[in-house]
Amino acid sequence: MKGYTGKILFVNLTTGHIEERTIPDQVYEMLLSGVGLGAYVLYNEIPAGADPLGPDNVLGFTSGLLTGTGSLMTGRWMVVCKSPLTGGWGDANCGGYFAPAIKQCGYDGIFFTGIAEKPVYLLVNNKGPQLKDASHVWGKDATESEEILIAENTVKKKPAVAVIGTAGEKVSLIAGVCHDRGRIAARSGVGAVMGSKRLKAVVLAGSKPIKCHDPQAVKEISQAFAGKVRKQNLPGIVKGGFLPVMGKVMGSMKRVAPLDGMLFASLMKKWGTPMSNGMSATSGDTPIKNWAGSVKDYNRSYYSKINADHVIKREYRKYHCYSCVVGCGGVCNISDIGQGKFTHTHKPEYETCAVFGPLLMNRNLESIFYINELLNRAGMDSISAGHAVAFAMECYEKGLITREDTGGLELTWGNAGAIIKLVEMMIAREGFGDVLADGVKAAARKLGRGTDKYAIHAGGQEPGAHDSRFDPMMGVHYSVDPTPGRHTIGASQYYNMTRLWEKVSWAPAVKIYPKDEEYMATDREALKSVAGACYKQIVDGIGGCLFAQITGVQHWQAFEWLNAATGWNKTPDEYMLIGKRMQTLRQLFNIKHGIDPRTFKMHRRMAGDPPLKEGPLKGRQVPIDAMMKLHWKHFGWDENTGVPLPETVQELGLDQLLQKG
Amino acid sequence: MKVKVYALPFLNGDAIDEMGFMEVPEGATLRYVYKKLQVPLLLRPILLCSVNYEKARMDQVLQDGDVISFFFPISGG
Amino acid sequence: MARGEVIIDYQICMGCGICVQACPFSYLELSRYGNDPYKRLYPELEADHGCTGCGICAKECPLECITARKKDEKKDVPLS
Repeated sequence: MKGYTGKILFVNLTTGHIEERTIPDQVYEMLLSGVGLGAYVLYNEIPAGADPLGPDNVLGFTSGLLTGTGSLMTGRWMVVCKSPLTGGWGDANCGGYFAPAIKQCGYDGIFFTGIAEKPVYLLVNNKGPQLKDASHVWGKDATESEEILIAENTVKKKPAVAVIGTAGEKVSLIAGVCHDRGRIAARSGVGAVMGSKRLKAVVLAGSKPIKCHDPQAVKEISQAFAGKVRKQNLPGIVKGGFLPVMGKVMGSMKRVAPLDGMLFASLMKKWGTPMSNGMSATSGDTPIKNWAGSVKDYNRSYYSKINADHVIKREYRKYHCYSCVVGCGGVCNISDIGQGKFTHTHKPEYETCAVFGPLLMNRNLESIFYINELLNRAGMDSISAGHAVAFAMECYEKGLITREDTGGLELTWGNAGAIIKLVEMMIAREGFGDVLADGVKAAARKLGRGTDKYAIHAGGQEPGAHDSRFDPMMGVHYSVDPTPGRHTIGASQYYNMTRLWEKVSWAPAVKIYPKDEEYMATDREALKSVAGACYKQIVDGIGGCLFAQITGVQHWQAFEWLNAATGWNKTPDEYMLIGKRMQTLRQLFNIKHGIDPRTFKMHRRMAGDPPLKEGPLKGRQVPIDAMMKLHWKHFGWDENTGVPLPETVQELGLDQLLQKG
Repeated sequence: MKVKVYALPFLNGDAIDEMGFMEVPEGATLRYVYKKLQVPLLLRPILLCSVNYEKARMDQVLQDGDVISFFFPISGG
Repeated sequence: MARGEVIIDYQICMGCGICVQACPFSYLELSRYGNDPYKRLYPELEADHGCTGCGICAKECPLECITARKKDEKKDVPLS
């Protein structure tokens, strides 16, 4: 009993055949569960050259190794596939309560290959798995579909559902997989793959117990963590109005200090991620006006309208994921918006607020709430959708597209009404919306006319709302991760708070340092980005939450939990080697599928080429080429091509795990 | 004895080692730490500081292993 | 009429929801506001529940703040 179940479910949607497969202990000990297990299965199952929207692609749903063991903030699940957006490894991460439900069915992961003849959903309960007809929910939005499927399939246990909306059904390359009426595994176009397979939903109602090696030891670590979080409560004097002021101070500071990440929990408890709405707008963290503007454009008269206090004013209850003691989510009343089309929506996350706010010069908060619900129901990634609208707005401003292209829509910056209409068109794949519904790279290709200059992406994936000119290490990960454009892999901010150096022998220790150091391509900075990437894989292997990770290893003790749950007794350095192996495998997947890692480098604007002329990021540039090389070098990959070196593959024992060809 | 100090970027970090610890004499109070960090007097009333995640007074006597953190937010995701 | 009941110490409970997901019959739900200023929801037995006092929720709770028991016996179900 080591925390994992040792079994996966493998479903062939073409033939309808469903089988259980046993996964050897060695695989978990080398790659953990979650994204590692997913990479192991997909590398071996998907033939090189497979069409991501074709029958040979494999779509997987995996839980974390620590999910359900009594550890805290380990309730994340992942969707894995070959990405139709980037052509390489694809994964997306989500919370809610789907992750434990996978294991309660007796599996660490559920995988699908083939394409169903007609829309189906998979139901798994204590009796076992069965494919069922989904034609009665095909065409309905994710929220409505989930409600129907839960009602139909509740016998004893309330099912957990992962479902696509119409965006996934229409194979929009920026569609995701939804859960619990507002959570979404959004990136890499995972929803498009699910839609291409005519798989509408996965409905899980198992109740098998989840076992681990030493549950009492796991609980003790949980109690220590919970005790600290319990104390994190902001004093009353700290109001939302402070946040932009703090952002301004942060943005102007010439030095950086590694802060106590546990304090972060107090902000998350009160506001959740929208705490960054005002703060990141002033610090330089939020990219503004399609990455071409600054706080000089999105000034106080703008950002004050989307400040955190305005967001939580509508919040009538908190929302949290399984096993979370912080609770950063929420549910908000929106019955007074848009003629009451929707009564409520999940509190929009910072990412959604940023890409539909500052990125578009939009200060209409109500429109952001409304768009949040539109996208959650349609099952479309807000980060990508926001960037697609920003791309269109800049093209419109530069005269590369006109009202004739847009069907009469005036795509002027900040035009909330036009933004809403355009999002609706993207969801329906109508008119100009159809051009944008596959993301910015595809849109620029469809339009031509030199529009690719304004398509901001890395390797086809639109980046999160964290400016790489503010945190260059964020830019490194945008460019080198096998899933490019992800803001959740690593950054100087994350590295400093995670404090890996307290437990990992080779992670550089950080004290107070000049901010300028983050902009230099040095071996020290590369070791930090490598350590961050390795640790992130561990977090994704255990089903961990990024916000727990950045409280710090001294608080959220992933290594200790792992040992307690598995009985492996490994050192942190040994776990980091597992992380390195997981990351190398994800990269090998890309190589197998013909990706040239150099082509994932982020758009030059994101590197400050040309640099901004105003604002806190004025003049800032990122030496991204040199930084990519050093990162690859310290991973044991070819520093010029990003291909894992044969000796590294051998050292990591990957050559034994993987089938050839 | 050693206490863990999470300092702010504009304070003096010379007395803090690589793992974040500061050596303090037995019986030292929070005021001692403030002095070592050279916290500007003007900022003291508005700077939020906790000892083991509880509000603390300047004359609080510190124990070995105490954690002193200053409040300052960073961005989310 | 339910044969069992669940008593949660809300001074300790942080509403993580592990117990809710552990219950094989989904008798627990996050429906109760607590004393915190954040409007977080905490677990409680739903109306018309059929709790048997099996103790799975108590066993899974990492903060060990749940007592489960069968009503007739008035005896606590041991945690392990």
